[in-house]
Amino acid sequence: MKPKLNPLLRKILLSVITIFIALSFTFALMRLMPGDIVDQWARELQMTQGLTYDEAYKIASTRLNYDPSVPIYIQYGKYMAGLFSGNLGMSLHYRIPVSTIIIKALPWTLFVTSSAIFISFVIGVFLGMLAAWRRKGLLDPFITFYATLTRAIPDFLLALILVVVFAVHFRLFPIRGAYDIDTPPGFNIAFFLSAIHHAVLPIIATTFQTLGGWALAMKASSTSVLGEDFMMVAKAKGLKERRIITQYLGRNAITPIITNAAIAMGAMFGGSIFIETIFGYPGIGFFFGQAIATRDFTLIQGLFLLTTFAMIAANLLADLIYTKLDPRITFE
Amino acid sequence: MKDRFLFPKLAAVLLLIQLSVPLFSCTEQKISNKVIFRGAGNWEMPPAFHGNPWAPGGAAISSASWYLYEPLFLFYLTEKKYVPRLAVSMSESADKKTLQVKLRKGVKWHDGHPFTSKDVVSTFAIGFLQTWAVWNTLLSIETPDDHTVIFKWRKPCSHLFKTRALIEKITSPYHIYGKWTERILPLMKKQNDFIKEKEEHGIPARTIWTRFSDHPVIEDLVRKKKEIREDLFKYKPSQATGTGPFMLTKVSASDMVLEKAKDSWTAKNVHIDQISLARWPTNEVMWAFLIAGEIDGAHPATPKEVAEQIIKLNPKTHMVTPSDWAEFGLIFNLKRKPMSDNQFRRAVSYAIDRDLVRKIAYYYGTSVTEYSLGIIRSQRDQWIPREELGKWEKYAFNPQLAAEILISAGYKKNRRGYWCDPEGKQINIEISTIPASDFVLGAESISSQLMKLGIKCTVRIVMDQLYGSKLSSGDFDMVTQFLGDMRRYADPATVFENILSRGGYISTATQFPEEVKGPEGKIINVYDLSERLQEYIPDTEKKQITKTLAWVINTYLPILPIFEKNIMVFYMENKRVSGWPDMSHPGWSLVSGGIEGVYCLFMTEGLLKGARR
Repeated sequence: MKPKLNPLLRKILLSVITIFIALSFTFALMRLMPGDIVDQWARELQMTQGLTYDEAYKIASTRLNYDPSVPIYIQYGKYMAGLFSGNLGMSLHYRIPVSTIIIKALPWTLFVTSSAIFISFVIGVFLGMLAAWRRKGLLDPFITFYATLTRAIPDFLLALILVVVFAVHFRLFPIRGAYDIDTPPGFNIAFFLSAIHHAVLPIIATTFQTLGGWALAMKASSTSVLGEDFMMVAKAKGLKERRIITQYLGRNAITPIITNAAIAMGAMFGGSIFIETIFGYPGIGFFFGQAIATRDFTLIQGLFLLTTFAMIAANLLADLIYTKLDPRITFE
Repeated sequence: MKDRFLFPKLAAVLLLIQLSVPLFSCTEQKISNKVIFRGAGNWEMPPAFHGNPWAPGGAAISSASWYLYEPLFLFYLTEKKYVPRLAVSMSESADKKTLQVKLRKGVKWHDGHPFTSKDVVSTFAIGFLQTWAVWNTLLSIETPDDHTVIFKWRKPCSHLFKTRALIEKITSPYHIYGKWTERILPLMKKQNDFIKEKEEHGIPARTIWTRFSDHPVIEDLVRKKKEIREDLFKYKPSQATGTGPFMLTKVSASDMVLEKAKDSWTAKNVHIDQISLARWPTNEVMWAFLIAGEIDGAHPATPKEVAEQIIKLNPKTHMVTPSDWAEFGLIFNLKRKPMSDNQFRRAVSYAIDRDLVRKIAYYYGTSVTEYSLGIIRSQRDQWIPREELGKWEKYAFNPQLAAEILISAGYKKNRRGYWCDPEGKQINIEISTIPASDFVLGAESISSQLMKLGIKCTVRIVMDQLYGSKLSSGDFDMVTQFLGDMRRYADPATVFENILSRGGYISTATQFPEEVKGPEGKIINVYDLSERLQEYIPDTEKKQITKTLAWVINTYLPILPIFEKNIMVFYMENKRVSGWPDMSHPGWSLVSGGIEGVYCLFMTEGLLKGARR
């Protein structure tokens, strides 16, 4: 009989392989993108200094101390060797370690996205459950309409509307940034309040967009639970409506939603390029946008690694949670 | 007892805390007696930001650079006048091969060290390391004393190269950057000796670096420069040290604060205590900033209706529109049919109502309604005599004439009403454009006008990152682009080095031939003429070459200018600051080189003061 690998261990091993494949894929994909950081800079120099492209390319390559003509397999080998020694490389554009950028930017992104996920999840799940329970009420079409509308509005437009209404017109929140520049960063109440105050609009922008999705998912899940026999039994037993909704309907319908929440937590590591750019918020999304625009390959790779890792870890977590929530399901 | 509603209750409490924070936090700025100027700009976000002007992420490439650093002179483009800053005077030798600059005495760096000629050498030496274009002509810099700098040129120095040297910001105090300067100077000598030797064989200096890239001397220079550069890039002070009227005190992702430098040589004129810069995310957000009165000066490109709304909603806002010293227009790909046909390009030039395009795309531009010269509209009369211009073909809007030109060139309309080329193939043109609102609106307007004439035309939006390679690879029919660039130097040489030179970015795109029939019927080499313009030549010859090259562009139409871009500068009078000068101030001509330089000039001239009570 063949020795069996522990299912959890097997899952982890599979995750590591997936990360490796995803990284190799993105590495190759980025090199296939037209233009590189030297090319970008060279064209700018060519336009502003009247140089030939060749001259400008040499100057750009010199100023960056980077040569993109190094064969791709050598670049790949160097990158992988660096990764295994815990080195994500040096940003081509910023000339600082990618890990430094991630360490500084990630807390801001996590602060905003985790708050937004938490708020939208709590409200969305509650509304979805109610909409399923009172299918003939106004809430059901309202949620569908709201979800369609918010999915259709691009996040940057929503962010702009929030800036104009709440920051410019009502002056309730700051227009930009992560904290007041006059507040010294550190463990103090003033900084803490300032950081929360500055995060409100980015959080609302993110929450507003994701809330409808949670509500719709919960409504669909709850609707399927409503037809189960135990729901009929609960009603027949004469239990209070609130208890049926929370203890019977909610508890059973939320299982697949919690899995989605775990995956959403993985996605939150990527931040939002547009929202963070509009609010001048120094998170991962902002740096992602800058890195793509400047073709900063090492930074893009570092950020991809982060999001890939987070997504796969979140998937693994979702699987684990699912087995705990629903005893019928195992890794086997 | 177990609380069944613990989770929802906890969530509600957390939500309430989150949303009630604004009640405890004050959004209004703290009241102070300081005179604060609020602007907007860009800089690398911390942790990338630092005070080394040379390394990526440094203060010199941020919007604060004009407040931190100063050049030897400013150059007013409208008056063609040098305005002393760190220098007080200059004199050129008769052969134009030496330029002596006397430096201002009593100037101090922000850290208290005196400013001397060594600092100029230090800046230009590191500029050499970073391959500044001025070093194509510059041979060496000598410092006979602490307040004299002598620039020595390889050959008589033209206005273009002289100005390039004089308006560079002096960013590198010797007492900080001297250790790198001392390593660079021997390399400079080695490179100069090599170039001198090659020049004696008739090889132009600017081409030597690329032509001899595998020569052992060049390889050794490249390696050593790389080592020095790596070392220099590692130096990342948190503060920038300049001589400018303001010192950098705080930098965050969203804001930058500069305080008045009390020891600056301009300090007695400066009435602004603090400059607060907000990050510039998008033009749309800037409009919101302007309406909210958050910004004292900014220049977002804005549609007419939005500009009017900003001024209406914030009545303290005013707008001036100085020239950007460049034109917006079309580039034709001369290697593709039917753009390769001069008659077709003529027809297109007559078919476009350029004033209408201007109104749609960039209302506050200046229309170019007749010729296609390369030289920007506002400078046209200085370089091309009116009586001469009157003899040249005018491309005033005339769709009927456009149709007649097409017919006489053998083009015919098919049954669907679209023009076909002389071989009977229906014409399908694509206008490529970057995703900027004025570019897209301009391209759409041109496209619809060509469609009206019966030329099938579509617009393709190309991402910025791909636009350059699309142009250089010739993968386009027509593109919208900035043409006639006379920024910073007000010199026609920069116009033609782009449009009609070897490897220029527009000449590469158009594939314009090196030799064409000139105005007098003789074959002329336009690339040679364009390069000649960059050298020191007498004014009469300069005007003659400019006229000839402008004639070439007007006749062969590799480009079609649509409007001269004017920068829309919004400023707020008497909220926090007052005293903005009107458009007659020559300082406004500096906007194309960096608008912060204009604000800083007005501050150091004592014009901008606190708001009147």
